[in-house]
Amino acid sequence: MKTKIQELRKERGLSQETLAGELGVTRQTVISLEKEKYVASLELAFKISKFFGKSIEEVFIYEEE
Amino acid sequence: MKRNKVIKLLTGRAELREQLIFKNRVCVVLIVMGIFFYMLKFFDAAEFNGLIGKGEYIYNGAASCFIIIGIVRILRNFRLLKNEDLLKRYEIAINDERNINIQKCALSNAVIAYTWLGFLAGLAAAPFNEAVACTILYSICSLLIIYMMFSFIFNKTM
Repeated sequence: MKTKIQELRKERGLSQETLAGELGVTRQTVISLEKEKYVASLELAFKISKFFGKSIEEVFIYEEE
Repeated sequence: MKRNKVIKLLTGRAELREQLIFKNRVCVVLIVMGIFFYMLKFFDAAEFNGLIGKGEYIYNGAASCFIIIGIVRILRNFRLLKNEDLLKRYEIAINDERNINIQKCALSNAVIAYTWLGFLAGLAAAPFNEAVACTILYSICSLLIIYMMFSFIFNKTM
């Protein structure tokens, strides 16, 4: 699933470590999310969207196969 | 109140510090069990017909496992309890959803691989040693039955 996490993180000048700390996840999870290798759970998706002050659809782009 | 606390400790829902202290106590029990298994050979009297002696290597192996795991875990837990920053990072790592998913995937794939390899090993061992083949195949059957039980339980509760 495509995400705009990296873009939003860089806009705010945050490191992956800092973002991971804010979300309560490991840095590896943030890396995997940004590389689109891992799909966040609904709870984590809500946390991320709330952190960036955006809606889920603005952060996560769902593409039907 | 005390029973609730014990249930929380056993199910991993207690506070991390309390859990680590509880796990240290469990590790001490493991170490004591390991020492006990080592000592078993001294109780292998004639009345037992050398029963313990027949499983000596297994008891020694289990004893070594218990003692080593107990000591390593205790040292790790003490290190975590002393350092607040390390404890916080450990808590994040064990609750991280990606790590939990990795563990679940690895476990389920390991069970599938074990089932197939065990089944094939059981079939291969059958002409040479029926007891070994039966042990392997019965353990695979037990695993599948336990899997079906848990599937049923989770199907009802989720």
